[in-house]
Order: sequence, then C-alpha cells, then structure tokens
Amino acid sequence: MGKTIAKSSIFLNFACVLISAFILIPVVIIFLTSLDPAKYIRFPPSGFSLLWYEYFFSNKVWQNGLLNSVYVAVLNTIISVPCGILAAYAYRKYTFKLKNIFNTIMIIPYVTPSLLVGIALLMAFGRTILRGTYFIVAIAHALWSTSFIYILMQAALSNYDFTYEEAAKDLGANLFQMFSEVTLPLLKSAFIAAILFAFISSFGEVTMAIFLVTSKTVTLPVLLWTSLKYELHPVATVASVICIIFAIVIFMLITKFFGTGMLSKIGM
Amino acid sequence: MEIAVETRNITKRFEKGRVVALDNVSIYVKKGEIFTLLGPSGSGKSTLLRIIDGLEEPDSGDVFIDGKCVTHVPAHKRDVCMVFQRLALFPHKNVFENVAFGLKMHKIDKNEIKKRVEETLWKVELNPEIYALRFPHQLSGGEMQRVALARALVLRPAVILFDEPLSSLDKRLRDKMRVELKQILKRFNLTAIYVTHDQEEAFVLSDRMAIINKGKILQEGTPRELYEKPQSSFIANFLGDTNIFKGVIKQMKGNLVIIELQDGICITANYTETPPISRDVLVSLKAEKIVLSDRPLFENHLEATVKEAIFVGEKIIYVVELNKELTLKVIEKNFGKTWRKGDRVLVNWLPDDIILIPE
Repeated sequence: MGKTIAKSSIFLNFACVLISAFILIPVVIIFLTSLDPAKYIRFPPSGFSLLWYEYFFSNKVWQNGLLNSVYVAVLNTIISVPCGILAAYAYRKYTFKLKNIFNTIMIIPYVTPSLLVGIALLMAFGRTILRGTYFIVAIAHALWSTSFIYILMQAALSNYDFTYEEAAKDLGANLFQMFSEVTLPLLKSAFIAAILFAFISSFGEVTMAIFLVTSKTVTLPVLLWTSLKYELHPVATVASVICIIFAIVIFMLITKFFGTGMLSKIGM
Repeated sequence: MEIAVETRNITKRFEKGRVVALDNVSIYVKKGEIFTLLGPSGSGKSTLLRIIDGLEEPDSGDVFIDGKCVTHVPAHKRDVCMVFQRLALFPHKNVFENVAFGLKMHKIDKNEIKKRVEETLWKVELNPEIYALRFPHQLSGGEMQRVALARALVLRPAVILFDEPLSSLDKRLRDKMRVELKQILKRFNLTAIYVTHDQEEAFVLSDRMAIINKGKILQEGTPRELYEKPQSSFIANFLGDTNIFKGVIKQMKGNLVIIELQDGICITANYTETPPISRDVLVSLKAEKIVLSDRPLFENHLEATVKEAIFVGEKIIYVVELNKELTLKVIEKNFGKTWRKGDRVLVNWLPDDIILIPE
C-alpha cells in the first residue's frame, strides 16, 4: 500500500505543478505586464518599473473607482449578510407554510444571469432618484449575494445542532443571551466567511454594475472594462492586479476561518 | 402529598392538525418522586416533556409547576431543567463553563457560581480539579452524562426532565449509569420526569410510571402494579415476555374462573377485583411464571412438546406447543433440569399468575 502511494505521488506532484502553472498563467502575465513602463499593453514586457502603479494611485479617476468599489462592497455586505443568514436560519429551524417555494425563491437570483438583473434594475429604477447611486448598485449585488449566502449558510447549518439553542433556553438564557453565548460562537466562522464572500463578490462584479453606475459612482471593475475597451491603457493591468490581490487575500481568509471542507460542500 | 408538576388535559397536534401527538394527557408528579413515561418511539412522550419544559406550547390544556400555571411562560423563565437525549453540552465551553451556564444566565455572583459549580461536580462524582477545564470532546460517554446532569442540578430546579439521556451509551455503561442516576436523585431528594422506551430503565428508575402510546396515557402506577396488573393487552405485551390468549369463560365459582382457550384446553384463574363482564376474555401469562416439569406441580398443568430451546446464558427461552395452534413462550433460569427440542413436558403455573385483561 505505502509503495503505491509513494509511486503515484510523483505523477500527482507533476500533475499539480502543471495545473497550477496553467491556472497561474493569466495572473503572471498581468502581473508582469503591470510592471512594464511602456505606454501600451504588450507581452513580454520590455522593462521593470512601478510607473503605472504610481499613476494609478495618483489619478483621481482610478482612486475614485477603487473607493467606489469599496463603498458598494461594504454596502452590499451590510444588506446581504443579515438577509442571507436569517433566511437560511429560518429555513433550517422552523416549519412554515410554502417552505419549498420560499427555498426556490431564495435561490432564483443565484441562477439568473446577472446581465438580466442589471438590465431589469436599470429599467425599473433608471428614472428614479436611485439612478446611479451606490445604493442601487449594492442592491443589485445584494440580490445575487443574499442568494449565495443563503446557500452557503445552508451548508454551514446542516452541521449545526439547534438543540444547543434549546439547551440554552432551558437553562435560562433569553433570546439575546442565547445568540451571544451559543449561536454566535458556534457559527462564528460561517458568519465571517459569509461577510468575506459578500464583500469580494461585490468588489469584483462588473456585469450588473455596468448598467447602473454613473461617472461619479463608477466602480473599479467597470473602469477597468471601459479602459480596456476604449483605450487599452496600461494602468488597466495595475487595476487588474489590485482586484486579484483583493480576491486572493479574501479567499485566504475564508479558508482560514471556514476550512476548505465547506467550499467543496457548496460546489466551489 | 405535594405535587411538583401537573399537566391537565394536554392536547398537541402536529402537521396542521393531521397528527395527534398528545391526546388529553393528564399526569402529576409528586415532590421527590422519579416518574417515568414509558412508551414506544413516536408515542408522544418526548413532546410531553418538551411541553413541560416550555420548548413547545400545547394546543390546549395546562401545565402547573409548584402549583403555578406556566402554560404560557417561556422555557427560560420556568423552574425546570432538561437533560437532552444528545446531551447538548456546549462544545465551545469547558466543563466549568457548561455547568456554570445557567447560573451565569441568572446573573448569580461569580464567587457563588464557582462554589455551586464545584459543589455540584462533586455531587455527580467528578473532581472539579481534574475536570473543570476539560472540553466536552475530551470526555468519555459516562463523564458527559455526569456533566449534563450537573448542568441541570446546579440550578436546583423544581423538577429535572430526562429525555432518554442514556440511550447513546453501550449496555454495560447504561446499566451502571442508571443505578448511579437513581442514587444521586434519591440522595438529594430531587423530583424527576424520565422519558424512555426501555422497560428495564423505567423499572430500575421509577417510583411511579405511566405508559403512553399514540399520545394517550394508558395506565399509571408503580412498576409492579403495571407489570402484574396490566389493564390492556398493549401493556401486557409491552412489559415483559407475555403469552396472550383469547378465551371463553366456562364457569365461575367464588373467586375462581374456568376459561376455555380452545376445544378441551381449560385453565383456572383467580380474579381479585371486579369480575369479568363478558364471556369472551383475554388472558395473559408471563413467560417466567411458567414452570416446566415431567410431573404435575400445580393444579394448572397442561401437556406440551418443546419446539425450541434457546440458550441465552443466565436463562433459557423455550417455545412449547400445546397443540397446533397454541404455543407458549417459557423462560426458565439456567438451573437444574433443562429441556431439549422434542421433549414431552408438563407446563405448570399458579392460578394467581393468570391475568384477565379487561378489554
């Protein structure tokens, strides 16, 4: 037995290296290109400089884009995390009428193409005072994100025993005490993962945002997209690197708090 | 006689009223008494316990604790504590914090908490110096049981509820914990309601017990009363190994009744209380009350053939055939003369051991 494992692990290692290299190619290319001082995007790069990084952080438009993305992501997190968590909690804990229909409705935004959601919200709110606000972008993101957190929390709650909460009540805990002493500590890592997922999914989203932002509220991914489409300006590579770094850091945090087990459970 | 807990006409339905979990259930538990609810799974016994604890509300009926009506008082304000089937020790809290939980929720002073938790851990025979800082996953099954008990005991509730907490243990440990649990409850004169589907557990623990099936209390009394005087064939069947026959009363003289089981096979029984009403009766005879012999021992004896002899260690289970349609289960101690398959024997019993079931 031990021998077979040792033998196959050579192939396994080889395969792992190959696949990792394949996955990393775009990231590496973008990263190297972002360090090229040339005035247009090309590969391989001709030199090494932080010129475009300097440009990115001194340019008002890109700075605003980054800030706008953070605003929208934070707003989306504030809206979608409580909604998603509470919906999943209610679904698991209680029996109520039309429970199956409720479950389906909660999952619909997750499976609806975001392009349609973007257009629909534009048509619905395009002529109202909400047009072009952070709020409407965050709402669009929250639709998807609530649905996703709902699914994520279902997975977390499938391992959660509600008897702990009954035991707490039985021993004299009121609702608030029960939540802070039992529910919160036991589900802490799931809650943190939900927050991080909500943030990153909104931070990098472009399809819905592109319909809903104005020049004032334009987010980083939208800026990136327009810049690539109309100018092919090299600062776009810097913006890409920043998006990637955000994503990587947050996924590392998620695996730290949540473990990889939960990710496989929800099919990520 | 002081009553600790009483339920009056509790009815509870589930699934939009389609399933009746409890049907007009009234029980009472005296102070210092261990009362057991014995019933098969799905009989409603756990639901009744949860209603007494406040985790469920009844559709109708009332719950009284220490004479006060608590039907609409939420669980966290009731003077009762439950030991859960899966124990539900908080996995993120150590033994001390688990036991201290209830006191902390009631905002008891820190020093007082420490004193009471340690005192209670001693009561359940856990040395606080060794166990206080351990987490539930570092405890054995028996130790977890003790912590769960301590967590309820420490609040000194009017009544402690047990929802089959021993069912996850292996048989040997379960037998040991049962006796210990009874000793602890009795030593501190505690009132308890214990729910189980295990007859032996109910008999070991109970001062009084009730048998519940399909949401109805069928009979209540001491374990011996229920065992010796079942009022329905369900109870006769449920408790112990029982032979139940249909019969027709042929003759009554004094306290004696002669019952014909089948053509020519007649038995004599005593009745002590009310005489049977109809001629058709059910008779019950416990397997261990029958003695096999080769010579007649008592007045009631019939010829039979041994069909099966099953050796189970301390006892031997026989299946004997009186005729093609009448077989009896007999349990004898593994002592003295034993029988083999095919042996012709006499089955003997005392008229007192035949129970007429009023049905």
